[in-house]
Amino acid sequence: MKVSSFHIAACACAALTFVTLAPQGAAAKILSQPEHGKVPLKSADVLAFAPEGVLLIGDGPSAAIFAVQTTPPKTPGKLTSPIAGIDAKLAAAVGAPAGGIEIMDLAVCPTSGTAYFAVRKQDDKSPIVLTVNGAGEIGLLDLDSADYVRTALPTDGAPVSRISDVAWADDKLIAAAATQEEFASKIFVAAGPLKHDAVGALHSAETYHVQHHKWETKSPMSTIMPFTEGGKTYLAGAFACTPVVKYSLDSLSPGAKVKGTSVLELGSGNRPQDMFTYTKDGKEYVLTNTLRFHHEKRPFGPSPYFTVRFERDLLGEEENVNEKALLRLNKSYEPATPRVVMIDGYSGVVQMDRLGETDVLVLKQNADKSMELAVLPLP
Amino acid sequence: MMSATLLLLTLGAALAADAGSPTITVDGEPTRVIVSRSLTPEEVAKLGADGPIAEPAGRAWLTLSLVGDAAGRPPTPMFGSYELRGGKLLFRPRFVLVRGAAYEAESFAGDGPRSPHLAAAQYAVPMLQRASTTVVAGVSPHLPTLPANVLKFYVTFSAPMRQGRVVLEQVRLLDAGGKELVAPWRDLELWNADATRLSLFVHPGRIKQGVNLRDDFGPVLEPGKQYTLVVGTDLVDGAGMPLARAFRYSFTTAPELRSRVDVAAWSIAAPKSASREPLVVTLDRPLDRHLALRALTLVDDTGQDLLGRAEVSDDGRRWTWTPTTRWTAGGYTLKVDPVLEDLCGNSPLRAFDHDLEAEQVDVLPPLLERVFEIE
Repeated sequence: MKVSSFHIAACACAALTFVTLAPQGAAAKILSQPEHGKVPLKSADVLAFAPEGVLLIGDGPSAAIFAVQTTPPKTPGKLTSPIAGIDAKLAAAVGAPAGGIEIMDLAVCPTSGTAYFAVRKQDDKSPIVLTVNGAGEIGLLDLDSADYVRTALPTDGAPVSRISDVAWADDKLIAAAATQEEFASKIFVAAGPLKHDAVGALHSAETYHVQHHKWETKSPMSTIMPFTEGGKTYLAGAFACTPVVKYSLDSLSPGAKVKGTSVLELGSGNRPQDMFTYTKDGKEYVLTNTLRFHHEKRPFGPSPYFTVRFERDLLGEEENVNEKALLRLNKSYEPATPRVVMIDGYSGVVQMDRLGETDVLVLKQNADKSMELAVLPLP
Repeated sequence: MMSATLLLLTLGAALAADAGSPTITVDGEPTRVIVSRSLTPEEVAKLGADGPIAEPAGRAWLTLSLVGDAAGRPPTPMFGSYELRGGKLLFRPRFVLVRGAAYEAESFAGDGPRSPHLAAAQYAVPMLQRASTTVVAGVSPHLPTLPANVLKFYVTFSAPMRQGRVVLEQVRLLDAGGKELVAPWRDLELWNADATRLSLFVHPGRIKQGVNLRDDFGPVLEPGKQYTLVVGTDLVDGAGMPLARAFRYSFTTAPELRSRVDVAAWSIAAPKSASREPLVVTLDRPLDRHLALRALTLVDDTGQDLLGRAEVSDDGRRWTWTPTTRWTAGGYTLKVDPVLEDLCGNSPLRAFDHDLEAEQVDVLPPLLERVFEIE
């Protein structure tokens, strides 16, 4: 089945020079009667943009997603030159030495190209969102005086420790989370427009583990990506060890179990970080970067962080799924299909987000462990 | 409010100290400061009336930056708020300063760091002058012998800890020869809300059978061997202090446990009516104590939840429940939430490593409640 384009959320930022993907139903409001004041964030685990310039911030200790209205930047445009030592520069802006912050996530405002970093200041655990505009200037998102909506996650009594990922899918908020006590896969959904202190619905997910050759409910998702296919909305999720699974979001009912379909296996010993779709030369692809936690034992390249591109049609696969799903590697760890390729130029990419039609903004770890913010062309 | 001017190094020697030199003043805590500089009437006129000054405008006259080369030159100015008051420009950093770090205030002639600075002052934040006191308060499970497919450990600390992925490298598993096991943990740090309890999952891909990770690298723990879990003093608490002492827990491993929790095999010792004696449930195996504390509940014969205090014994094999009021004679039900797990992730519904389409593996339907009588 042909996979149609998912409409990337566009923020209400100024420049439209390098974005052509219009938000679907952009007139629909994302926030309904937002609160104004200090956003009571405990942790900024993950970031993603919804339409209308709304930044979604996943906060595990609060078991909530905060949707914060952002304002257009004064200096739109994509980063003109790489920033070496970006981690130290971000740390210095909040008065911390290098290593005094942890960069939790990176998201790019789709229309302005401004980078948003979720940061934790280590000495007092302050959750901070910093921005870097096209000129390389570092800014601070004002969370002391903002319009925002908090959406609580029902947890079934399980204490949420961390939001794994968050996304906006056409008209709803989607999140994946990990709990401290359970090795479980949970999908949270809240219908838009988001109302302050509304509670989302919780769904347990079953996943077919391709390598394991078994259905299981026990693996939490690392990264999620909504997409549309045949007029229906789906969620693609990637897991450690590393199946790519899709779930239908159109037939969910609260508390129901969602059964996913595994369409691809990227290889064991890895944890996916980010994932998005794009089109190049008329063909649609998905790009995903991955941390290989068994890099020391069996490296896939010079860095533990590697990136692969796969054909987006694989998400529409209906026949070769689950136990017949495509494997990236054969038993000898050799490439098993030309439909999935490793992108050498992306070695070391720790975080990434799409930057317009042709580029990707990447947070890249160099061989000397220094961090760099750079723009790479879509492969 | 305590107010004391600290180390002031006037580098603009040609200028008088009160003609634009910055001053760093401690604002109550050593990690909070107010930076100020005086302005001439002409300079004040450029900034306007007393009151808040926009951050970009303030930075043209005064900045505070971390001292060090890591962030490069020119230094990155810190975020904060500016205020014009009585001929002085004041700067309050948005975030607290870091103990042990040094900072430099610089003043400029209204053109920011692009112009030569007029003067500078430095301030070094003192380290905490106290000994480390934070320790590991306990590890769960903490038994002499664990199944080789034990899924997770909870490490509880006596105070909130500093978070970060590095903690997954600072809690180590050693084999009997003291050699460190490589990458034993699932690569995701999971803390409770106040960062006093860390959950460490032994990598599930090396527990599950038939997964490449286990096929290639083998299980993390093998039966019949000795291991030691070590929490090193390189872990840092929330105040930036290392642990006061390392923590070591040695255990041997038994054969893997790959069967579901058998609620039918639990033994229930019912107390007498009119007493407040605890109900004692002897379990078929040690359970995850944190899950057991919230997954087991009691209702009376009308379905009403009972109030009381649940405890799990140190060996995880006994669950006790003490009511807040005296027992009355009648029927009761112990309800089991299926989130309950043993030490290996096996639940009452299914074993951790289980094919959901092969239900014939567990012939009997799962049991999620036990009925008992109080006489």
